[in-house]
Amino acid sequence: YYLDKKPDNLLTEDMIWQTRANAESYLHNIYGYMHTTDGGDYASMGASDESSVCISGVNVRQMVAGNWSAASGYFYNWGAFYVGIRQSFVFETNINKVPVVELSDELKAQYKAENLFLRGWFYWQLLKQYGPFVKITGVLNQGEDYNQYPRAPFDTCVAYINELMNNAAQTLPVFWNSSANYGRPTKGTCLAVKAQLALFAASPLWNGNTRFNALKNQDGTPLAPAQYDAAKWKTAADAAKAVIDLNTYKLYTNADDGGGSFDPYLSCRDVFLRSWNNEIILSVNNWSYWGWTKCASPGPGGYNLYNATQNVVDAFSMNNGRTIDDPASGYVETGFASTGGANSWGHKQGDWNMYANREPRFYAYIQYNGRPVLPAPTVDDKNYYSSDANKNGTGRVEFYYNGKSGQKSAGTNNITGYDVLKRVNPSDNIRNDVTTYRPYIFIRYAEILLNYAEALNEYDPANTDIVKHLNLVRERAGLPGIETVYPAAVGNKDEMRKHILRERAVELCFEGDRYYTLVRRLLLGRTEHQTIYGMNVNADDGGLGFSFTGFYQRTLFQKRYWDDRMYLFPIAQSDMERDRALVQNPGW
Amino acid sequence: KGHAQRISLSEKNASLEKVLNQIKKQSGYQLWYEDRLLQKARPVNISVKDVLLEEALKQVFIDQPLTYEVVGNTIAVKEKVNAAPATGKAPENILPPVDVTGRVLNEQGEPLVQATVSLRRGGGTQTDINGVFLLKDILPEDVITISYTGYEPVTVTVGNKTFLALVLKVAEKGLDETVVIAYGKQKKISVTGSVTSVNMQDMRTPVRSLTNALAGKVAGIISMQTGGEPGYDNPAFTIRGIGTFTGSNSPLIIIDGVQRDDVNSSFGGAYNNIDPEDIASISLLKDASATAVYGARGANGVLIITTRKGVAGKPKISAKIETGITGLTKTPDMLDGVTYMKLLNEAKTNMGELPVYSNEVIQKTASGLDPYLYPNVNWIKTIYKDWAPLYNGNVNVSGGGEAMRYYVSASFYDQNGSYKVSKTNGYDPNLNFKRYDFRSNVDVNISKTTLLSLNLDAMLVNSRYPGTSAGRIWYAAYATNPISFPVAYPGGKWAGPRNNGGSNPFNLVQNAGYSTEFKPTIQSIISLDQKLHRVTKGLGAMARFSFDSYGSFDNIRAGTNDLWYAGSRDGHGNLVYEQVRTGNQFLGYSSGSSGQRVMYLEGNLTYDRSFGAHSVGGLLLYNMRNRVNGSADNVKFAIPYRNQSVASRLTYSYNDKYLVELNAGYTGSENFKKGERFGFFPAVSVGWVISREAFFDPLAGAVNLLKVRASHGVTGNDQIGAGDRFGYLTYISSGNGAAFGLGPAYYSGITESVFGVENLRWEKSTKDNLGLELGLFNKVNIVADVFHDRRRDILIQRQSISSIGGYSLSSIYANMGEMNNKGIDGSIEYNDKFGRNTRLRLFGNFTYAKNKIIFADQPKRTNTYQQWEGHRYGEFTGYSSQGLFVDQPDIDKSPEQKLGSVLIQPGDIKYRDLNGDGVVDANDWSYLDKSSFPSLLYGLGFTLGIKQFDISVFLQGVSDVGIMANGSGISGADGAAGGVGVVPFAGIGQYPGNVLSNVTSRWTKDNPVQNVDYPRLSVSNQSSNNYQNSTWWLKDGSFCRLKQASVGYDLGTASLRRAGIAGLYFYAAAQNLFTFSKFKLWDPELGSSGAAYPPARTITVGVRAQF
Repeated sequence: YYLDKKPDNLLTEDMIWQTRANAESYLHNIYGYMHTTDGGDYASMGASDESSVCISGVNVRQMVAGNWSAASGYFYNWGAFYVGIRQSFVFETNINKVPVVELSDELKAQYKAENLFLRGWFYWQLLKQYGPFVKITGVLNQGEDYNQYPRAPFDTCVAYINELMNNAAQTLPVFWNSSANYGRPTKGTCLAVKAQLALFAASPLWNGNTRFNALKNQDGTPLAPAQYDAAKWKTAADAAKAVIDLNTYKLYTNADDGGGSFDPYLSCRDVFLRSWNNEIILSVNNWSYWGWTKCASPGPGGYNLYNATQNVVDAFSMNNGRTIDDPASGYVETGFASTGGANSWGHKQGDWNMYANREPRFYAYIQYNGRPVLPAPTVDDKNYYSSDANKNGTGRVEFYYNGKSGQKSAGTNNITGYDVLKRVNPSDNIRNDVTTYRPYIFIRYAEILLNYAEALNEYDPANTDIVKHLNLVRERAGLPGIETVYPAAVGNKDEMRKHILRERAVELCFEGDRYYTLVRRLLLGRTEHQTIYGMNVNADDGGLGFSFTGFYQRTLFQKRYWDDRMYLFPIAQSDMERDRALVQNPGW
Repeated sequence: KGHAQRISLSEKNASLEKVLNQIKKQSGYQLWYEDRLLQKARPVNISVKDVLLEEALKQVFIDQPLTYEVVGNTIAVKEKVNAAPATGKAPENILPPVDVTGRVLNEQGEPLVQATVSLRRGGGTQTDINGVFLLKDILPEDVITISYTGYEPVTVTVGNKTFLALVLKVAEKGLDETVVIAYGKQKKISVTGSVTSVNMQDMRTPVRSLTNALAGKVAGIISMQTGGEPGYDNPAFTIRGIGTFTGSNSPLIIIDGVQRDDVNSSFGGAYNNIDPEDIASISLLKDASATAVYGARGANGVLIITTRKGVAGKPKISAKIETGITGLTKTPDMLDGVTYMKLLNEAKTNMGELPVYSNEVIQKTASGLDPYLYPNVNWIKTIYKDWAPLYNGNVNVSGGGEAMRYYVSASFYDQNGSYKVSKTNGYDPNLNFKRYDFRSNVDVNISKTTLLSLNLDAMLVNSRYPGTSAGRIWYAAYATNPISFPVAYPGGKWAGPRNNGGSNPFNLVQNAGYSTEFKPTIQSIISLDQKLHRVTKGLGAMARFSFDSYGSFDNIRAGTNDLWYAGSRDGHGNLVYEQVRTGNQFLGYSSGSSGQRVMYLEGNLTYDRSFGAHSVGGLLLYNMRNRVNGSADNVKFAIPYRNQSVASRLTYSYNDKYLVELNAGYTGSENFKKGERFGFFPAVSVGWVISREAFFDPLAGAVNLLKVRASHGVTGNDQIGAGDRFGYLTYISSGNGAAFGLGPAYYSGITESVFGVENLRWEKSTKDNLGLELGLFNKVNIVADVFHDRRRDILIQRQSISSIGGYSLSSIYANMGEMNNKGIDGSIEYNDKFGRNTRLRLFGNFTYAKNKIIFADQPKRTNTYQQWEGHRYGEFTGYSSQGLFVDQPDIDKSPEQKLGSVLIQPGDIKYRDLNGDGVVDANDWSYLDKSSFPSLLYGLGFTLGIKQFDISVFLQGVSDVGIMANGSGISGADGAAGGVGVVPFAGIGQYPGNVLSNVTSRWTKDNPVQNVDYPRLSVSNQSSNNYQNSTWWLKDGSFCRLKQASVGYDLGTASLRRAGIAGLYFYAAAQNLFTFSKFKLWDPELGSSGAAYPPARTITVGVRAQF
C-alpha cells in the first residue's frame, strides 16, 4: 500500500449524477459543441462569394482554390458533433438518477428537452456539411466493431432530426420567463430548426438532384431521395409559418430599446449588438466577439482578415430600394460624391460615388475605403487609423496601397478593399482590444421570414404572404416594399426568387446563410459566384491617398476553383478508415 | 600472471633506462626508480631470448652499481648496499629470524600512513606517519600482505631481504579493474552484461551540460543538442536510440546509487550541472542483464554517475582554473536589404503583381546615405556578438587516513550570453549563467567492518535572461526584414513597426527587461556499509537513505519601451516621427517558483566469495522512492510519485573464465491499478573469457583478452507519456462552457478527458545482447555489442476507434504499442608509448540504432504508404519532389497539383502522384525514410603526448539524420506566420519576413535551372505548393564536429615538487571549433528549426595544479 496513491478529488462517472451542479455542468459541456467558430467559419467567411480571408494559406482559401481532399481535414466537425451526440445519450440515460432534492423533475424534463434539441442540432449540422450521417441511437462502446455502421438515407436523417425537434418542442417553453435562460432553446427554436431543415430538404441539392443517384451504401441502399418532390416546398413553407404563427418573434428595431424614432441603420446594426432581443431565435453566448472584431477590423488596430467582396457590395440596393443594375436606381459607379448623404450614418462628401446613397444595411455591414473605422471611439483612436495627412479625427479607413490599412504598410493585408462591419460595436476600441459582449446569432426571425417567402414562392407564387413577409424585412431595412419598386416580380416565381435570394444575400450576409443558400440551390458552382472582385488594392496610389481614383477599379481578385463534389464536404479519410461501412460523398 | 613474462632483448651499449623500458613494455610491469640513481648506471650489453623476467633482470643488473627488486608487478631499482653480488645464491642453511623494515608508498611516492601490514601466519602491524613499518622475527618464507583502503593490496615473500620498498597502486586498475554496475561494482573481467565506462579524462571539457560532453565519448549514446541557450542546452539524450514511440525515451540516471533523472528537465538539469572534476566514473548499462534489477524503469538504459571519494593520504589539493570566450557555432546569413527588395519585386512579378520597390528606393537603400528612411539592418549581426566571456574553476581536496577519508570540492561556472547588449537602461539584459557547486563526500570507518558515508552536494544555478525568450528573439530575427525600420533613430528613439505585429528584434533583447532565475539543489546521501564476515565470510549489508531538494525561482522584470517610426522627412529634412508604441514607465514584475523533493531508502545484502576457482556473488535489495512535486497545478500531479522494488542478482564464475549471472527486479509503481502495479523483470547472461583457456596460451602474446558474452531479459518503462499519470482512472475535467442570460452568465462544463482503462501496465522491453571484448598486445581494446530490443505493451492512446463513437476528444490509453530497436555499438582504443617521451592514445566509438514502429493502433490506411507502422520514430513525411516544372506543357501533362492556393507555374516544385489519381493532394505524401533523430552517432579522437606536451583532438558526428529545411520547424510566434526566414517573404499581419541569403540560388525565368536551392520565388507561406514538406527540402543532416581540441604542457618538475606543487599543467582548449556538414544554412544539430540558439563554440585557456 505504499503505492496505494491516487487522486482523492476525482469526479467519477457516477458522481456526475449525484448533484445538480455536476449534472448541469455535463449539459453545459454538450452546449459547447454547438459553437465551433468565432464567426470566421467557412460558411460565414470565405467560402461563398460574399467574403474572403486575406491569408492565402488558411483552410477556407485552400477550399476555394480546390486544394482539398478527404485527407485535408478542413473544418473537421464530424468528430466533435459525434462527441456531443454520445454525451447527449449519456445525459439522457443518467439525468433521472439525480436526486429530486437536488434537481426537480420539472428541471430534469427541461434539461432533457434541451439535450434532445442539442442532439438534433448536431445532426442537423452534420447533415448540412456532410450529407447523410450515421444515425447513432445510444452510447457506443470503445470496443465496438465500428465497421458495422453505415450512413442513413437522407430522408431518414431528416425524419430523425424532426423527431428530435418535435420531442424537444413538447417540453420547451415558447418563451423563457426568466431572462437568465436566454440562450437556451425554446419551442420556437425547435420549430425554426425544422423550418431550416425543411427548406434545405426541399431545395434542389437534395430534392431531385440526379448527381446523387449514385450515392448508395455498400448494400445498395440509396442515400439520396430518388424523386423530386414538390410537396417538400409546402412542408418548408408550413414549417416556417409555424414559427411565425407562434407570434413570439419580431424584427428588431432601435425603437424597441426606447431608442427614439425608428432608424433603419441602427436597427440593422444593433440587432447583432444588443445582448438579447426578440428577433433572436437561437444564439450562442460564449464566443470570441473579440476575435471576430479583431479579425474584421482594419489595420493597424485590427487584423484586416475578413474581407467583404465587390460581389456582395453590388448586391446592396440603393436607398430607394432599387438594385444597382436598375437604370432607375440612380447608381453611379465613378467619381467622388459632391455632397454627403442625408443621414449621419450615410456616405460623406468625397466618398466614391459607388458608395453613395446605398441602402442603410450597406453602411451597417460594409467597411469601404474612406468609411470611418467603427471600433475607435475617441479622436485619438480614430487618428490612429490615419496617415499623417489625414489625421483629422474622422478615422477614415485607408485601404489604398500606401494607406494605413493598405497593402504597403500592412504587408499582405486587405485584399479586396473592403472589410466586414457586421457584429462590430462602435463602443469597442479594437486598437486596445476593448470589446463588449454581444451574442452570436445562429437563427433569427428575419431568416424565417425569408425562408417562408422563398418556400411559398416555389409552390404558390401568387400567395400574398410572399410580398408581405419579404417586405417586413425590407421595411426594417428602411426600404420600400418590393411591389412598389418591382411590381412585375409579384406573382412571377422566377423574378420573385431572384429578389428573395438577393434579399437573403444582403440581410443575412456574413452569417453563413449565403454559402448554404448557394449550396442548397445548387448555385455555388456558377461562374458568377466563383468569380470574385474587389477594388484595386495593389496599385500604387502615388501618394494621392483618398483622391487616387485608380483604387476604385473593379479588379478581379479570384477565379475560384469549382468541382460539383464541393456541394458536400468529404467524409474525412481518417473516418472512412475507421468505419469501413461508410461510403464517400460523390466525387471525393 | 602466466603470460607476457618472457623477455627477449638484444642491446649493445644501451642505457639502463632504455633497457628497463623495453622490459616494462614486454612484461607489462611498472618501473619504479629515482632519476638520480640511473645517472650512475653503466651501459648494458645483453642478448637474451624468451627468458623469464627474473633471468633477464639478473643479466641486466650484472655489473651495475644498482640492484632491483620485483614487488608485485613493479620493478624497483635501488642502490646496491654492499659489493656482494646480487646474483649470488642464498645460503642453503636456515637463517635465523630477522627484523624486517619496510616502507609503503603510493605511486606518487607519498608515504601511506596506517596501512595494514599482516603476516600470513598471523600477526601484523601498521605503518607509521612516514609509511614505515617494522616486523620482528621474520623468516624468509614469511608472506606479508600490505593493504590500504582504495589501493590494491600487495603480497610479498620476505626471502632474504631485510628492507622492503613497497608501492601500492590505486585500485580499479589493470586486470582487477572494477566497473560500476547496478547497485554495486563488479570486476570488469567478470561482467556479462553490456556495461561501458566513460574515460573521465575525456570529460574534462568546459561544457555546462554533462550529457553534452558525453556524446561520442562512449559507445551507446545517441544524443542531439537542439538548442544552445546556456542553462537550457541539455540535449535529447538516449542510450541506444529510441525504443518507444510514446512516453519517455530518457535513460534512468543514478547518481551515487540514487535515482535522479526525473527532476532533470525542470531544474536546469540537476545532474547535468555536476562538474566533471567531481566525477569518479560514469557507467552506461545497456542491456537487460545490466538493467533488469531496475525493473519498470530500466528499459531506456541506465546511466550511473559516481562522484569521487577521498583516498587516504596527505591532503591532496587539485585546482583547475580556466577562462575563455564563447560564441555561437553558426549564425545564419540573411538577405541584405537591397537583395531583399530586388527579390521581393521578383516574387511579386512572378505572381503577376506589380513590384513593390521602385528603383529609386532600392538605389537609396543601396547608397546607405539615409539609414533612417532607407534602413538596411542585419538583425542577426546586430543582436549577436562573436564572443562572450566564460569562467570555470574547481578546487578539491581529498585525503584522510584509515579511519576517515574525505573529498571536498567547490566549483564555479560562469558563462555569458552572446547578446550584443549594453546596460543603458540601468540593468544588464544579457544572458548570464552562473553555477556554484559544493560537494563533500566523507567516509568514516566506524569499526573495522563498518563504513559510514555521507555525500552532500549543494548547488546553485543563478542565471539571468533577457525579458524576451531566446526563441522569440530568434523568431523575430528571422521574421524581420532588413528594410522595415532602423534599430533606432537619433536621439535615443527606438524604432518599431508601424502596423500590427512584428517587432524590432534588437529592441526585444535590449529594452524588454530581464528575468533572473535561481535554482538551488541539495542532494544528500547517507549510507552505512556493514561487513558481516562474522556471520559468514563474504557477506555484507548496506543501508542507504537519501533526500534531495530542488527549487526554481524566477523573477521576471519585463516591460516595453516607447517605439517610433519615421516614414518621411519634413521640409527642413527632419524626420517626421510617429509614436507607434507607448511603453511602460517601469518594468513590470512577475514571479514563478517550483520545487520538488525526493526521498529514497535502500537496504541490501551482498555476498561475494571465492571457493578456489569458484566465485559466487549475490545481491538482495529493497528500495523505495518518493518524489513530490511541490508546485503541481492539480491534485493529480501533487500526489507523490512512488516506486518500490526488490531486486536480486546471482553471479557465478569459474576461474574468471566461465561466467553466469541472473538478475531480477520486482518493481512497482503508483501509476497503475492495484494488482497491476508490480512486475517481475528477469534477465540471464553468460560470459566466456576465451583468452583464459589453456588452449589459448599460444596466442596470449597477441591476444591478451578475448571474451564473449550474451544476455537476454526483460525490463520495463512506467513513464506513460505526456507527463500523464493514472491512465486507469477516468478523468472528468473541465470542458466546454455555456453562457445564458443577458449578461451573459458563464457556466463551466465538465467532460471525460480520459476514459480509464483497467489493467493498464508498464511497457515491457525484451532485450537481447551479444558482446565481444578483445584486447590485443595489451595495447588495443575492442568492444562491440549487437542488440535487439523489442518493446511491447507500449502505453498508447487508442487511434483506431471511429469518431462516430464520440470518443475522439478524450484520451483512451491501452498497452498496445509495439516497437523494435536494433543496432550495434562498439569502441576501440589503442594506447602505446614510443620511447620514453611519446605517448599515444587513439580511440573511437559508435552507436547505431534503428527502430521500427510495429503497432500503434493506427487504422488501416487507404494509402498504404501513409501507414505509420513499419516506419521509424520521428520519420519525416512529405511529398516526393521530381524537380521543378520546366515549362507550361510540363505542367499541363503532369498530374494537377492541389497544394497551396497559388497557380502552379514553371519553376514550381513538381511532386509525384503516388496514388495515381491524376491529382497531387493530401493523398500523396508518404514516409521519407529519414528521421529527425540520428541512427548513428560516433566519436573519435587521439591524445598524443610528447615529453611534457600533449595534444588531443576529438571529433564527434551523427549520421542518417534529416533536416526538413522548408521552415516547418519554425513555428509562428505572437500569432504571426511560421516558416519565416526560410519560406520567402512569409508573414501575415506584419512585414514580410526575411529570407536566408541562399535564396539567391533560385529558379528564374532567365535562368531556369534545376540545381538551385529555391524554386520560383513568390510571396509564400508554409502551405504554399513549394514549401510543403517534401524531398526537395529534406536535407542530409549528418555532421561531424571538431568537438574538442586541446594542447597542454605539463610542468611537473622536481623543483616544483620540492616546492610542494605536485603537478602543474597548462592548456588551451576549444570546443566546437569546426563543423563539417553538407548542410550549411544553420547549425545542423538544431534540426529543422533553424530559428534557435545554436550550440556554443568555446575557446579556453586554463591551468591545473596539484599540491
